[in-house]
Amino acid sequence: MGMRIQREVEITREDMSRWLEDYDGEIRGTKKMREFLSGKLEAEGFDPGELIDTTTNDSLADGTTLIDMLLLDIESYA
Amino acid sequence: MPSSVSRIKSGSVQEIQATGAGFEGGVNIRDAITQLAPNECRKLENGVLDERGGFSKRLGCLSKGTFGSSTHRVLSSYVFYRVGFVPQLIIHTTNGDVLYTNNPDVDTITWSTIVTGQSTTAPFSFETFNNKLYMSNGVNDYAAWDGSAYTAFASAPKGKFLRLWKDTMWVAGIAATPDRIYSSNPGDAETFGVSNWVDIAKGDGDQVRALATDGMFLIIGKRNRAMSISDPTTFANRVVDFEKGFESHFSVAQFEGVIYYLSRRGICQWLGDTPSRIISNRIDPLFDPAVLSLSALDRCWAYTYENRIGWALCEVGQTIATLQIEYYPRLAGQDSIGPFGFQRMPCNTLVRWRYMAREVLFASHNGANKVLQAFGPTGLDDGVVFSGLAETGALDFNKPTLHKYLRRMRMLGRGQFTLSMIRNFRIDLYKTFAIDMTSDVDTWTTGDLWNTGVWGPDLLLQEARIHPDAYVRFLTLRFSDADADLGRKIVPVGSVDRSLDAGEWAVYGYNIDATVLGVRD
Repeated sequence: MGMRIQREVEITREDMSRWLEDYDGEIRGTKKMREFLSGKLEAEGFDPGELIDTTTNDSLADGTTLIDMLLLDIESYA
Repeated sequence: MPSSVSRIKSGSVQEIQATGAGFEGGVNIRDAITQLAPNECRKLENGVLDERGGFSKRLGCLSKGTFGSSTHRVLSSYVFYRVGFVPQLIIHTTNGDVLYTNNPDVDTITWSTIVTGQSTTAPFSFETFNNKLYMSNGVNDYAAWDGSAYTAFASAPKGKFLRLWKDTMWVAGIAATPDRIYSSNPGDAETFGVSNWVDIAKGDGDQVRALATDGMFLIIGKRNRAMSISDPTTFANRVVDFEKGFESHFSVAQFEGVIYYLSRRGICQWLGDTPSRIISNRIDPLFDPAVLSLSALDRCWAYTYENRIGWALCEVGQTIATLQIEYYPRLAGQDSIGPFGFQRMPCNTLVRWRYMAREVLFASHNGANKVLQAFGPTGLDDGVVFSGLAETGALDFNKPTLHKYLRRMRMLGRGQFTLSMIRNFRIDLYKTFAIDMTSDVDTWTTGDLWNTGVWGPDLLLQEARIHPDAYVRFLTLRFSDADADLGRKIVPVGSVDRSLDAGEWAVYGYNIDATVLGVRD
Protein backbone atom coordinates (compact mmCIF):
# COMPACT_ATOMS: atom_id res chain seq x y z
CA MET A 1 0.00 0.00 0.00
CA GLY A 2 1.37 3.39 -0.92
CA MET A 3 1.88 5.58 2.12
CA ARG A 4 2.00 9.01 0.55
CA ILE A 5 -1.02 10.91 1.75
CA GLN A 6 -2.35 13.59 -0.52
CA ARG A 7 -5.65 15.19 -1.13
CA GLU A 8 -5.68 15.41 -4.87
CA VAL A 9 -4.96 12.72 -7.38
CA GLU A 10 -4.59 13.15 -11.09
CA ILE A 11 -7.67 11.23 -11.96
CA THR A 12 -10.69 13.16 -13.05
CA ARG A 13 -14.34 12.39 -12.95
CA GLU A 14 -14.18 12.28 -16.71
CA ASP A 15 -11.65 9.42 -16.49
CA MET A 16 -13.87 7.65 -14.01
CA SER A 17 -16.97 8.08 -16.18
CA ARG A 18 -15.10 6.67 -19.13
CA TRP A 19 -14.03 3.64 -17.09
CA LEU A 20 -17.54 3.04 -15.84
CA GLU A 21 -18.81 2.77 -19.38
CA ASP A 22 -16.83 -0.47 -19.59
CA TYR A 23 -18.39 -1.88 -16.44
CA ASP A 24 -21.23 -4.34 -16.56
CA GLY A 25 -22.93 -5.05 -13.23
CA GLU A 26 -24.17 -3.40 -10.04
CA ILE A 27 -22.26 -0.27 -9.30
CA ARG A 28 -22.56 -0.15 -5.54
CA GLY A 29 -20.79 -2.14 -2.88
CA THR A 30 -19.79 -5.08 -4.99
CA LYS A 31 -16.51 -6.85 -4.92
CA LYS A 32 -16.70 -6.90 -8.67
CA MET A 33 -16.73 -3.13 -8.86
CA ARG A 34 -13.78 -2.88 -6.49
CA GLU A 35 -11.78 -5.29 -8.60
CA PHE A 36 -12.82 -3.52 -11.78
CA LEU A 37 -11.76 -0.08 -10.60
CA SER A 38 -8.57 -1.37 -9.03
CA GLY A 39 -7.70 -2.87 -12.35
CA LYS A 40 -8.38 0.42 -14.12
CA LEU A 41 -6.28 2.34 -11.62
CA GLU A 42 -3.37 -0.03 -11.90
CA ALA A 43 -3.60 0.03 -15.66
CA GLU A 44 -3.30 3.81 -15.55
CA GLY A 45 -0.35 3.64 -13.18
CA PHE A 46 -2.14 4.52 -9.97
CA ASP A 47 -1.97 2.63 -6.70
CA PRO A 48 -5.50 1.73 -5.49
CA GLY A 49 -4.16 1.59 -1.95
CA GLU A 50 -2.69 5.04 -2.00
CA LEU A 51 -3.92 6.96 1.00
CA ILE A 52 -5.83 10.14 0.49
CA ASP A 53 -5.86 12.68 3.30
CA THR A 54 -9.42 12.74 4.58
CA THR A 55 -8.75 14.28 7.97
CA THR A 56 -11.39 16.93 7.38
CA ASN A 57 -14.03 14.47 6.29
CA ASP A 58 -16.51 13.87 9.11
CA SER A 59 -17.13 10.23 8.50
CA LEU A 60 -13.72 9.04 7.37
CA ALA A 61 -10.43 8.26 9.04
CA ASP A 62 -7.44 10.52 8.53
CA GLY A 63 -6.46 8.54 5.50
CA THR A 64 -8.70 6.72 3.04
CA THR A 65 -7.47 4.58 0.19
CA LEU A 66 -7.92 5.83 -3.32
CA ILE A 67 -10.09 2.89 -4.28
CA ASP A 68 -12.34 3.52 -1.29
CA MET A 69 -12.64 7.18 -2.22
CA LEU A 70 -13.83 6.15 -5.66
CA LEU A 71 -16.29 3.62 -4.29
CA LEU A 72 -17.64 6.04 -1.70
CA ASP A 73 -18.56 8.51 -4.41
CA ILE A 74 -19.70 6.04 -7.04
CA GLU A 75 -23.36 7.02 -6.68
CA SER A 76 -22.68 10.56 -7.85
CA TYR A 77 -21.93 9.14 -11.30
CA ALA A 78 -25.42 7.78 -11.72
CA MET B 1 -70.05 69.20 21.71
CA PRO B 2 -70.65 66.36 19.28
CA SER B 3 -73.18 63.77 20.18
CA SER B 4 -70.57 61.03 20.13
CA VAL B 5 -68.96 62.42 23.23
CA SER B 6 -71.61 62.20 25.81
CA ARG B 7 -69.96 63.64 28.84
CA ILE B 8 -66.67 65.13 29.75
CA LYS B 9 -65.79 64.15 33.24
CA SER B 10 -62.66 65.98 34.13
CA GLY B 11 -59.68 68.00 33.11
CA SER B 12 -59.23 71.49 31.87
CA VAL B 13 -59.01 72.00 28.11
CA GLN B 14 -55.46 71.52 26.94
CA GLU B 15 -54.05 72.21 23.49
CA ILE B 16 -51.54 69.79 22.06
CA GLN B 17 -49.48 69.76 18.92
CA ALA B 18 -48.32 66.33 17.90
CA THR B 19 -45.68 65.67 15.26
CA GLY B 20 -45.47 62.37 13.48
CA ALA B 21 -42.20 60.53 13.98
CA GLY B 22 -42.08 59.44 10.36
CA PHE B 23 -41.88 55.96 8.92
CA GLU B 24 -38.23 55.07 9.31
CA GLY B 25 -38.96 52.25 11.75
CA GLY B 26 -40.60 50.33 8.94
CA VAL B 27 -43.25 47.74 9.48
CA ASN B 28 -43.79 46.02 12.80
CA ILE B 29 -46.25 43.15 12.89
CA ARG B 30 -44.66 41.49 15.90
CA ASP B 31 -45.61 43.90 18.64
CA ALA B 32 -49.04 44.65 19.99
CA ILE B 33 -50.47 47.69 18.30
CA THR B 34 -50.11 49.73 21.47
CA GLN B 35 -46.42 48.89 21.67
CA LEU B 36 -45.33 50.10 18.27
CA ALA B 37 -42.62 52.71 18.28
CA PRO B 38 -43.80 56.11 17.05
CA ASN B 39 -41.87 55.68 13.80
CA GLU B 40 -43.14 52.17 13.06
CA CYS B 41 -46.09 51.13 10.95
CA ARG B 42 -48.59 48.36 11.36
CA LYS B 43 -48.91 48.09 7.62
CA LEU B 44 -46.41 49.11 5.01
CA GLU B 45 -46.78 47.90 1.46
CA ASN B 46 -45.82 48.91 -2.03
CA GLY B 47 -43.68 51.77 -0.88
CA VAL B 48 -40.07 52.54 -0.21
CA LEU B 49 -38.22 54.27 2.59
CA ASP B 50 -36.02 56.15 0.18
CA GLU B 51 -35.66 59.22 2.36
CA ARG B 52 -35.18 58.69 6.08
CA GLY B 53 -38.47 59.26 7.81
CA GLY B 54 -40.51 59.47 4.65
CA PHE B 55 -42.63 56.91 2.83
CA SER B 56 -43.03 56.95 -0.95
CA LYS B 57 -45.23 54.81 -3.06
CA ARG B 58 -42.97 52.60 -5.15
CA LEU B 59 -42.54 52.63 -8.89
CA GLY B 60 -44.34 50.01 -10.92
CA CYS B 61 -43.32 47.09 -13.11
CA LEU B 62 -42.87 47.58 -16.83
CA SER B 63 -43.33 44.64 -19.18
CA LYS B 64 -40.41 43.81 -21.42
CA GLY B 65 -42.36 41.35 -23.50
CA THR B 66 -43.04 37.65 -23.41
CA PHE B 67 -41.14 34.41 -23.85
CA GLY B 68 -42.32 30.91 -24.75
CA SER B 69 -46.03 30.31 -24.42
CA SER B 70 -48.56 31.65 -21.95
CA THR B 71 -48.20 28.89 -19.36
CA HIS B 72 -44.43 29.20 -19.10
CA ARG B 73 -42.83 30.83 -16.06
CA VAL B 74 -39.28 31.54 -15.04
CA LEU B 75 -37.56 29.17 -12.61
CA SER B 76 -34.36 31.12 -12.24
CA SER B 77 -32.55 33.99 -13.86
CA TYR B 78 -29.09 35.42 -14.01
CA VAL B 79 -27.05 38.21 -15.54
CA PHE B 80 -24.00 37.02 -17.45
CA TYR B 81 -21.38 39.75 -17.45
CA ARG B 82 -18.57 39.70 -20.01
CA VAL B 83 -16.08 42.45 -20.53
CA GLY B 84 -16.73 44.22 -23.80
CA PHE B 85 -20.24 42.87 -24.22
CA VAL B 86 -23.68 43.96 -23.17
CA PRO B 87 -24.53 41.67 -20.24
CA GLN B 88 -26.81 38.84 -21.28
CA LEU B 89 -29.94 38.18 -19.28
CA ILE B 90 -30.44 34.44 -18.84
CA ILE B 91 -33.68 32.72 -17.84
CA HIS B 92 -34.53 29.08 -17.17
CA THR B 93 -38.20 28.42 -17.84
CA THR B 94 -40.77 25.87 -16.77
CA ASN B 95 -40.73 24.59 -20.32
CA GLY B 96 -37.22 23.32 -19.73
CA ASP B 97 -35.64 26.02 -21.88
CA VAL B 98 -32.63 28.09 -20.97
CA LEU B 99 -32.92 31.35 -22.89
CA TYR B 100 -30.75 34.40 -23.28
CA THR B 101 -30.99 37.85 -24.69
CA ASN B 102 -28.08 39.95 -25.81
CA ASN B 103 -29.81 43.10 -24.64
CA PRO B 104 -32.68 43.11 -22.15
CA ASP B 105 -32.78 46.91 -21.93
CA VAL B 106 -35.23 47.35 -24.79
CA ASP B 107 -39.00 47.70 -24.99
CA THR B 108 -39.50 44.12 -26.13
CA ILE B 109 -36.82 41.56 -25.41
CA THR B 110 -35.80 39.13 -28.14
CA TRP B 111 -35.05 35.73 -26.65
CA SER B 112 -32.73 33.11 -28.07
CA THR B 113 -32.12 29.56 -26.94
CA ILE B 114 -29.10 28.24 -25.09
CA VAL B 115 -30.49 24.76 -24.56
CA THR B 116 -33.88 23.04 -24.48
CA GLY B 117 -35.14 19.86 -22.85
CA GLN B 118 -33.89 20.69 -19.38
CA SER B 119 -35.76 20.23 -16.12
CA THR B 120 -39.14 21.92 -15.92
CA THR B 121 -39.03 22.15 -12.11
CA ALA B 122 -35.44 22.26 -10.83
CA PRO B 123 -34.05 25.79 -11.17
CA PHE B 124 -30.55 26.24 -12.51
CA SER B 125 -27.92 27.76 -10.29
CA PHE B 126 -25.49 29.93 -12.24
CA GLU B 127 -21.95 31.17 -11.77
CA THR B 128 -19.51 33.09 -13.97
CA PHE B 129 -15.86 32.01 -14.22
CA ASN B 130 -13.16 32.26 -16.87
CA ASN B 131 -15.53 34.27 -19.07
CA LYS B 132 -18.05 31.46 -19.10
CA LEU B 133 -21.39 30.96 -17.50
CA TYR B 134 -21.69 27.65 -15.62
CA MET B 135 -25.02 26.14 -14.76
CA SER B 136 -26.23 23.18 -12.76
CA ASN B 137 -29.57 22.15 -11.28
CA GLY B 138 -29.14 18.65 -9.86
CA VAL B 139 -30.99 17.03 -12.73
CA ASN B 140 -29.34 17.96 -15.98
CA ASP B 141 -25.69 17.91 -16.91
CA TYR B 142 -23.44 20.57 -15.49
CA ALA B 143 -22.82 22.88 -18.40
CA ALA B 144 -21.05 25.96 -19.66
CA TRP B 145 -22.12 28.81 -21.93
CA ASP B 146 -19.60 31.23 -23.36
CA GLY B 147 -22.14 33.63 -24.78
CA SER B 148 -22.61 31.78 -28.02
CA ALA B 149 -21.86 28.07 -27.46
CA TYR B 150 -23.24 25.59 -24.94
CA THR B 151 -21.14 22.69 -23.64
CA ALA B 152 -22.34 19.97 -21.27
CA PHE B 153 -20.02 18.06 -18.96
CA ALA B 154 -21.70 14.75 -18.32
CA SER B 155 -19.12 13.52 -15.85
CA ALA B 156 -19.17 16.62 -13.62
CA PRO B 157 -21.16 16.44 -10.39
CA LYS B 158 -24.84 17.07 -11.03
CA GLY B 159 -25.46 19.35 -8.10
CA LYS B 160 -28.30 21.75 -7.50
CA PHE B 161 -26.02 24.53 -6.36
CA LEU B 162 -22.89 26.23 -7.63
CA ARG B 163 -20.60 28.70 -5.93
CA LEU B 164 -17.31 30.10 -7.07
CA TRP B 165 -14.75 30.39 -4.28
CA LYS B 166 -10.98 30.69 -4.41
CA ASP B 167 -10.87 30.30 -8.19
CA THR B 168 -12.63 26.98 -7.85
CA MET B 169 -16.15 25.89 -8.67
CA TRP B 170 -17.96 24.27 -5.77
CA VAL B 171 -20.94 22.03 -6.32
CA ALA B 172 -23.45 20.58 -3.88
CA GLY B 173 -26.94 19.21 -3.83
CA ILE B 174 -26.62 15.79 -5.45
CA ALA B 175 -29.55 13.66 -4.38
CA ALA B 176 -27.44 10.54 -3.75
CA THR B 177 -24.83 12.43 -1.72
CA PRO B 178 -26.80 15.13 0.11
CA ASP B 179 -24.00 16.05 2.54
CA ARG B 180 -21.24 16.22 -0.04
CA ILE B 181 -19.44 19.26 -1.40
CA TYR B 182 -17.43 18.87 -4.60
CA SER B 183 -14.75 21.14 -5.91
CA SER B 184 -13.36 21.53 -9.38
CA ASN B 185 -9.66 21.72 -10.01
CA PRO B 186 -8.29 25.16 -9.12
CA GLY B 187 -8.74 27.60 -11.98
CA ASP B 188 -10.63 25.04 -14.04
CA ALA B 189 -14.36 24.78 -13.53
CA GLU B 190 -14.63 22.02 -16.10
CA THR B 191 -12.41 19.40 -14.49
CA PHE B 192 -13.26 17.67 -11.24
CA GLY B 193 -10.84 15.36 -9.49
CA VAL B 194 -12.25 12.08 -8.24
CA SER B 195 -11.24 12.77 -4.65
CA ASN B 196 -12.16 16.45 -4.48
CA TRP B 197 -15.09 16.11 -2.20
CA VAL B 198 -15.90 16.31 1.47
CA ASP B 199 -18.90 15.30 3.54
CA ILE B 200 -20.17 17.91 5.96
CA ALA B 201 -22.13 16.57 8.92
CA LYS B 202 -22.68 13.32 7.10
CA GLY B 203 -25.85 11.45 7.83
CA ASP B 204 -27.39 14.12 10.02
CA GLY B 205 -30.70 13.70 8.25
CA ASP B 206 -30.31 17.06 6.62
CA GLN B 207 -29.02 18.10 3.22
CA VAL B 208 -27.08 20.94 1.74
CA ARG B 209 -29.47 23.66 0.68
CA ALA B 210 -27.16 26.49 -0.15
CA LEU B 211 -23.60 27.43 -0.95
CA ALA B 212 -22.43 30.95 -0.29
CA THR B 213 -19.22 32.81 0.23
CA ASP B 214 -18.02 35.97 1.84
CA GLY B 215 -14.76 35.70 -0.06
CA MET B 216 -12.85 34.25 2.86
CA PHE B 217 -14.88 31.12 3.47
CA LEU B 218 -17.19 28.83 1.60
CA ILE B 219 -20.44 28.71 3.53
CA ILE B 220 -22.46 25.52 3.50
CA GLY B 221 -26.04 25.88 4.55
CA LYS B 222 -28.15 22.96 5.57
CA ARG B 223 -31.70 23.43 6.75
CA ASN B 224 -30.84 23.33 10.43
CA ARG B 225 -27.25 24.49 10.65
CA ALA B 226 -24.48 26.20 8.78
CA MET B 227 -20.83 25.32 8.32
CA SER B 228 -17.89 26.85 6.54
CA ILE B 229 -14.86 25.55 4.69
CA SER B 230 -11.75 27.61 5.28
CA ASP B 231 -9.21 25.78 3.14
CA PRO B 232 -9.97 24.86 -0.47
CA THR B 233 -7.19 22.27 -0.51
CA THR B 234 -7.72 20.33 2.70
CA PHE B 235 -11.45 21.18 2.93
CA ALA B 236 -10.93 22.11 6.59
CA ASN B 237 -14.34 22.96 7.91
CA ARG B 238 -16.23 23.83 11.05
CA VAL B 239 -19.73 24.43 12.28
CA VAL B 240 -20.56 28.10 12.50
CA ASP B 241 -24.21 28.06 13.43
CA PHE B 242 -25.64 24.97 15.05
CA GLU B 243 -29.29 25.91 15.00
CA LYS B 244 -30.00 28.23 12.11
CA GLY B 245 -29.72 26.96 8.59
CA PHE B 246 -30.40 28.09 5.05
CA GLU B 247 -33.73 27.56 3.37
CA SER B 248 -32.73 28.57 -0.13
CA HIS B 249 -29.54 28.83 -2.13
CA PHE B 250 -31.20 31.67 -4.00
CA SER B 251 -32.02 33.58 -0.82
CA VAL B 252 -28.40 34.56 -0.26
CA ALA B 253 -27.54 38.19 -0.96
CA GLN B 254 -24.49 40.23 -0.19
CA PHE B 255 -24.88 43.91 0.56
CA GLU B 256 -22.03 46.17 1.58
CA GLY B 257 -19.88 43.32 2.79
CA VAL B 258 -22.56 41.49 4.72
CA ILE B 259 -24.32 38.29 3.74
CA TYR B 260 -28.04 37.98 4.34
CA TYR B 261 -30.16 34.87 3.81
CA LEU B 262 -33.42 33.20 4.68
CA SER B 263 -33.56 30.69 7.50
CA ARG B 264 -36.62 29.01 8.93
CA ARG B 265 -36.51 31.56 11.73
CA GLY B 266 -36.45 34.53 9.42
CA ILE B 267 -33.91 36.68 7.65
CA CYS B 268 -30.41 36.21 9.01
CA GLN B 269 -27.27 38.25 8.90
CA TRP B 270 -24.14 36.12 8.55
CA LEU B 271 -21.55 37.12 11.13
CA GLY B 272 -18.65 35.06 9.84
CA ASP B 273 -17.35 33.27 12.90
CA THR B 274 -20.31 33.26 15.26
CA PRO B 275 -23.89 32.16 14.85
CA SER B 276 -25.95 34.33 12.56
CA ARG B 277 -28.17 37.06 13.86
CA ILE B 278 -31.84 37.19 13.03
CA ILE B 279 -32.77 40.65 11.84
CA SER B 280 -36.40 40.16 10.90
CA ASN B 281 -37.69 40.19 14.47
CA ARG B 282 -40.26 42.84 13.75
CA ILE B 283 -41.90 40.73 11.06
CA ASP B 284 -41.65 37.45 12.96
CA PRO B 285 -45.30 36.43 12.46
CA LEU B 286 -44.65 36.29 8.73
CA PHE B 287 -42.59 33.12 9.15
CA ASP B 288 -45.55 31.03 10.18
CA PRO B 289 -46.69 28.01 8.15
CA ALA B 290 -50.12 29.58 7.96
CA VAL B 291 -48.66 32.64 6.28
CA LEU B 292 -45.75 31.48 4.18
CA SER B 293 -45.55 28.28 2.18
CA LEU B 294 -42.84 26.32 3.98
CA SER B 295 -42.59 23.85 1.15
CA ALA B 296 -41.66 26.66 -1.21
CA LEU B 297 -39.06 28.38 0.95
CA ASP B 298 -36.37 26.77 -1.19
CA ARG B 299 -37.56 29.04 -3.99
CA CYS B 300 -37.06 32.21 -1.97
CA TRP B 301 -35.17 34.61 -4.21
CA ALA B 302 -33.01 37.49 -2.98
CA TYR B 303 -32.17 40.70 -4.78
CA THR B 304 -30.44 43.95 -4.01
CA TYR B 305 -31.52 47.27 -5.39
CA GLU B 306 -30.73 50.86 -4.45
CA ASN B 307 -30.63 51.06 -0.65
CA ARG B 308 -32.26 47.75 0.12
CA ILE B 309 -32.24 43.99 -0.06
CA GLY B 310 -35.36 42.10 -1.01
CA TRP B 311 -36.61 38.55 -0.83
CA ALA B 312 -39.42 37.19 -2.99
CA LEU B 313 -41.48 34.65 -1.06
CA CYS B 314 -44.40 32.31 -1.68
CA GLU B 315 -47.37 32.85 0.58
CA VAL B 316 -49.29 29.87 1.86
CA GLY B 317 -50.95 27.88 -0.89
CA GLN B 318 -48.74 29.41 -3.57
CA THR B 319 -45.97 27.82 -5.58
CA ILE B 320 -44.55 31.04 -6.97
CA ALA B 321 -43.60 34.22 -5.17
CA THR B 322 -46.45 36.56 -4.36
CA LEU B 323 -44.79 38.79 -1.80
CA GLN B 324 -41.50 40.60 -1.39
CA ILE B 325 -40.00 41.74 1.87
CA GLU B 326 -37.38 44.45 1.76
CA TYR B 327 -34.74 45.34 4.30
CA TYR B 328 -32.95 48.69 4.65
CA PRO B 329 -29.55 48.12 6.31
CA ARG B 330 -28.56 51.77 5.92
CA LEU B 331 -31.51 52.90 8.00
CA ALA B 332 -30.43 50.78 10.96
CA GLY B 333 -31.35 52.05 14.37
CA GLN B 334 -29.53 51.76 17.69
CA ASP B 335 -29.79 47.98 17.61
CA SER B 336 -28.04 48.11 14.23
CA ILE B 337 -31.06 46.45 12.65
CA GLY B 338 -32.81 48.31 9.89
CA PRO B 339 -36.46 48.52 8.98
CA PHE B 340 -38.46 46.16 6.78
CA GLY B 341 -41.28 46.80 4.37
CA PHE B 342 -43.51 44.68 2.16
CA GLN B 343 -44.04 44.82 -1.58
CA ARG B 344 -46.64 43.08 -3.64
CA MET B 345 -45.10 43.10 -7.05
CA PRO B 346 -45.96 40.43 -9.61
CA CYS B 347 -42.33 39.37 -9.46
CA ASN B 348 -40.70 36.02 -8.86
CA THR B 349 -36.99 35.99 -9.63
CA LEU B 350 -35.22 39.34 -9.67
CA VAL B 351 -31.74 40.19 -10.93
CA ARG B 352 -29.93 43.51 -11.22
CA TRP B 353 -28.48 44.28 -14.63
CA ARG B 354 -25.98 47.06 -15.18
CA TYR B 355 -24.41 48.29 -18.37
CA MET B 356 -22.84 51.66 -19.04
CA ALA B 357 -25.27 54.34 -17.87
CA ARG B 358 -28.10 51.96 -17.17
CA GLU B 359 -28.97 49.89 -14.11
CA VAL B 360 -32.19 47.92 -14.17
CA LEU B 361 -33.80 45.36 -11.89
CA PHE B 362 -35.29 42.66 -14.11
CA ALA B 363 -37.92 40.35 -12.70
CA SER B 364 -39.85 37.40 -13.95
CA HIS B 365 -43.62 37.76 -13.81
CA ASN B 366 -45.31 35.48 -11.30
CA GLY B 367 -48.48 35.11 -13.35
CA ALA B 368 -47.43 35.44 -16.96
CA ASN B 369 -44.69 34.46 -19.37
CA LYS B 370 -43.13 37.89 -19.12
CA VAL B 371 -39.98 39.57 -17.95
CA LEU B 372 -40.53 42.89 -16.20
CA GLN B 373 -38.51 45.87 -15.23
CA ALA B 374 -39.20 46.16 -11.52
CA PHE B 375 -39.29 49.68 -10.07
CA GLY B 376 -39.53 50.96 -13.62
CA PRO B 377 -40.79 54.30 -14.92
CA THR B 378 -44.48 53.50 -14.59
CA GLY B 379 -47.23 53.83 -12.04
CA LEU B 380 -48.69 50.43 -12.93
CA ASP B 381 -47.68 46.82 -12.38
CA ASP B 382 -47.70 45.47 -15.92
CA GLY B 383 -50.74 47.60 -16.68
CA VAL B 384 -52.53 46.89 -13.41
CA VAL B 385 -53.21 49.52 -10.76
CA PHE B 386 -51.67 48.84 -7.37
CA SER B 387 -51.99 50.64 -4.05
CA GLY B 388 -49.33 52.01 -1.79
CA LEU B 389 -50.15 51.67 1.88
CA ALA B 390 -48.71 53.01 5.10
CA GLU B 391 -50.66 52.63 8.31
CA THR B 392 -49.34 53.94 11.58
CA GLY B 393 -49.72 52.43 15.00
CA ALA B 394 -52.29 53.80 17.42
CA LEU B 395 -51.33 57.34 18.36
CA ASP B 396 -52.54 58.44 21.79
CA PHE B 397 -50.76 61.80 22.08
CA ASN B 398 -49.34 60.61 25.41
CA LYS B 399 -52.79 60.75 26.94
CA PRO B 400 -54.25 57.30 26.36
CA THR B 401 -57.22 57.65 28.66
CA LEU B 402 -58.45 60.99 27.46
CA HIS B 403 -60.43 61.89 24.39
CA LYS B 404 -58.93 64.36 21.99
CA TYR B 405 -60.56 66.64 19.48
CA LEU B 406 -58.50 66.84 16.30
CA ARG B 407 -58.83 70.29 14.94
CA ARG B 408 -56.20 70.58 12.30
CA MET B 409 -53.69 68.37 10.54
CA ARG B 410 -50.88 69.30 8.20
CA MET B 411 -48.97 66.93 5.99
CA LEU B 412 -45.77 67.47 4.10
CA GLY B 413 -45.50 65.36 0.99
CA ARG B 414 -46.21 65.17 -2.68
CA GLY B 415 -48.70 63.63 -5.02
CA GLN B 416 -52.22 62.47 -4.50
CA PHE B 417 -53.45 59.94 -1.99
CA THR B 418 -56.16 59.16 0.51
CA LEU B 419 -55.80 59.71 4.22
CA SER B 420 -58.07 57.60 6.35
CA MET B 421 -58.48 57.86 10.09
CA ILE B 422 -59.28 54.89 12.25
CA ARG B 423 -60.07 55.50 15.87
CA ASN B 424 -59.79 53.47 19.02
CA PHE B 425 -58.65 50.22 17.37
CA ARG B 426 -61.79 49.82 15.32
CA ILE B 427 -61.78 48.16 11.93
CA ASP B 428 -64.00 50.60 10.10
CA LEU B 429 -62.75 53.89 8.77
CA TYR B 430 -63.77 56.88 10.83
CA LYS B 431 -62.86 59.69 8.47
CA THR B 432 -61.44 59.78 4.96
CA PHE B 433 -59.80 62.68 3.18
CA ALA B 434 -58.60 63.02 -0.39
CA ILE B 435 -55.22 64.69 -0.29
CA ASP B 436 -54.06 66.39 -3.45
CA MET B 437 -50.58 67.82 -3.48
CA THR B 438 -50.14 67.60 -7.23
CA SER B 439 -50.78 71.18 -8.22
CA ASP B 440 -48.93 74.40 -7.62
CA VAL B 441 -50.21 76.45 -4.76
CA ASP B 442 -50.49 80.16 -5.33
CA THR B 443 -50.28 81.97 -2.05
CA TRP B 444 -51.02 85.28 -3.75
CA THR B 445 -54.42 86.38 -4.88
CA THR B 446 -55.15 88.12 -8.13
CA GLY B 447 -55.30 91.36 -6.21
CA ASP B 448 -51.71 91.17 -5.11
CA LEU B 449 -49.25 93.39 -6.85
CA TRP B 450 -46.76 90.59 -7.43
CA ASN B 451 -49.21 88.44 -9.27
CA THR B 452 -46.82 87.13 -11.84
CA GLY B 453 -46.37 83.40 -12.00
CA VAL B 454 -47.09 81.04 -9.17
CA TRP B 455 -45.92 81.87 -5.69
CA GLY B 456 -45.95 79.03 -3.31
CA PRO B 457 -44.42 75.70 -2.43
CA ASP B 458 -42.73 73.64 -5.09
CA LEU B 459 -44.90 71.21 -7.00
CA LEU B 460 -42.92 68.27 -5.67
CA LEU B 461 -42.99 69.22 -2.03
CA GLN B 462 -46.16 70.60 -0.63
CA GLU B 463 -48.01 70.96 2.59
CA ALA B 464 -51.63 69.95 2.76
CA ARG B 465 -53.98 70.99 5.52
CA ILE B 466 -57.18 69.34 6.59
CA HIS B 467 -59.61 69.88 9.41
CA PRO B 468 -60.41 66.42 10.71
CA ASP B 469 -63.13 67.51 13.14
CA ALA B 470 -62.59 64.17 14.81
CA TYR B 471 -62.90 62.81 18.33
CA VAL B 472 -60.52 60.04 19.26
CA ARG B 473 -58.65 58.44 22.10
CA PHE B 474 -56.39 56.44 19.83
CA LEU B 475 -55.79 57.47 16.25
CA THR B 476 -54.47 55.36 13.41
CA LEU B 477 -53.57 57.07 10.16
CA ARG B 478 -53.76 55.17 6.92
CA PHE B 479 -52.16 56.63 3.81
CA SER B 480 -53.14 54.81 0.63
CA ASP B 481 -54.18 55.25 -2.96
CA ALA B 482 -55.56 53.47 -5.99
CA ASP B 483 -54.06 55.60 -8.72
CA ALA B 484 -52.03 54.80 -11.78
CA ASP B 485 -49.88 57.87 -12.08
CA LEU B 486 -46.15 58.24 -11.92
CA GLY B 487 -44.57 60.81 -9.64
CA ARG B 488 -41.35 62.74 -9.42
CA LYS B 489 -39.06 63.56 -6.58
CA ILE B 490 -36.29 66.06 -6.18
CA VAL B 491 -32.76 65.15 -5.20
CA PRO B 492 -30.79 68.29 -4.40
CA VAL B 493 -27.22 67.91 -5.65
CA GLY B 494 -25.65 71.04 -4.34
CA SER B 495 -27.19 73.93 -6.23
CA VAL B 496 -28.76 71.63 -8.80
CA ASP B 497 -32.06 69.92 -8.18
CA ARG B 498 -32.35 66.61 -10.00
CA SER B 499 -35.85 65.41 -10.73
CA LEU B 500 -36.21 61.64 -10.61
CA ASP B 501 -38.98 59.18 -11.34
CA ALA B 502 -40.75 58.18 -8.16
CA GLY B 503 -43.95 56.61 -6.99
CA GLU B 504 -46.98 58.80 -7.30
CA TRP B 505 -47.06 60.11 -3.77
CA ALA B 506 -45.05 60.45 -0.62
CA VAL B 507 -45.53 61.55 2.95
CA TYR B 508 -42.59 63.08 4.74
CA GLY B 509 -44.27 64.15 7.94
CA TYR B 510 -47.42 65.35 9.59
CA ASN B 511 -48.54 67.51 12.48
CA ILE B 512 -51.79 67.48 14.35
CA ASP B 513 -53.34 70.22 16.43
CA ALA B 514 -55.69 68.79 18.99
CA THR B 515 -57.50 69.63 22.15
CA VAL B 516 -57.49 67.24 25.04
CA LEU B 517 -61.03 66.90 26.23
CA GLY B 518 -61.27 64.42 29.04
CA VAL B 519 -62.60 61.04 29.99
CA ARG B 520 -65.61 59.80 28.14
CA ASP B 521 -67.89 57.78 30.31
